[in-house]
Amino acid sequence: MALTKVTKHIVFGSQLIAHYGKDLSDLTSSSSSYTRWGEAVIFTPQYADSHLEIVFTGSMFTGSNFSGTNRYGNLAIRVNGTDEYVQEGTMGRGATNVGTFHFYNPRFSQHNVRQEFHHQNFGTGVYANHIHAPGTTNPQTVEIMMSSDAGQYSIQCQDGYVTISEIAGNHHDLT
Amino acid sequence: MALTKVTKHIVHGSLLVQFKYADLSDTSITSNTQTYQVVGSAITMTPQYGDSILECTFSASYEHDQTGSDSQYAISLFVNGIEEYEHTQLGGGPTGGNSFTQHGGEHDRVYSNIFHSSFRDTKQSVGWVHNHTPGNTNAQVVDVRGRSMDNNGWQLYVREGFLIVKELSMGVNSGSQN
Repeated sequence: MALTKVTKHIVFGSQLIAHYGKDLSDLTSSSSSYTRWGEAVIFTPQYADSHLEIVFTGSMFTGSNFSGTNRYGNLAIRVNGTDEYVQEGTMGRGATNVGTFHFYNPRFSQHNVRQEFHHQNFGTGVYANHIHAPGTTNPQTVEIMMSSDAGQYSIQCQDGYVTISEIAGNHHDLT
Repeated sequence: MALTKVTKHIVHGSLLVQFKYADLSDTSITSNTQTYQVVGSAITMTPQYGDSILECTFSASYEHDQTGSDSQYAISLFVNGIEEYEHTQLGGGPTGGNSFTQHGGEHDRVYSNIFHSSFRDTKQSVGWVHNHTPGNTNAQVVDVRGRSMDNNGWQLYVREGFLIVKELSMGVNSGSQN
């Protein structure tokens, strides 16, 4: 008797069917609209009931000097044009305190003092993981997107790396 | 000849026995005792083998809006109510300041002062991975918890949390460094 081909279906558990990793090109952007970080990854699932585990790491940095309002960067995992997972506020801080010290006494030439603190040169590592269930064997276009919450806030996105693992649908939510 | 049941034991390597994931609801954590509070909901998984590994991965963004010289937070992994892995000293709050002198006033006194300013409204990405070895086949309740480390009542927001738990069988190569 010929041997039966061993597929994922007769092995107990969920198999790692395919795996892909990609180094993304660096990006500098100040756009408040989501902009793609590096290249898109096109991944075609082998089974319609598979799950795609998407993991992303990178770093975000800004040398911008700003004050007055909060400034943040955002990150998203986009699949086929839809933002599947969004992290708002992946880096950045609010403006620091702007203090006014009340001295006012014009008779003796005393006047209020106002001191404003700015912050700049913030950077951080960013990490995002997500599982996407495509429900089809059509190619899935995975993009890592970033945005700045204000048009003048320039963010350097570096060392982006994304992995995509196709996990067989068997035994998802088994217990 | 009867077919031999294919189990993890006769397959070379480690198998992903099962997996679960959860979108954790956004959570605002205010604790007046600096004790941990759960972010979103838990994942309960019952290992199929006593020697399995539970790989837990988590990502989110967090924010704290407190002023102060030292506002630090922790976001950690708990299994069955026991802290297994923690990320601490998140956030932080270095103060900045500079001195100045002011001329004027009665008798032209000169005052020396320092203004301090502290960072606030920090937002950042947070994420970690950890392997937990339950050592039995009892149900394992996995959740993420956060707390303020320094000051009672300081608020921590954890948003867009995503938690993945995988049961990996202890295969031939597990643990080796090839």
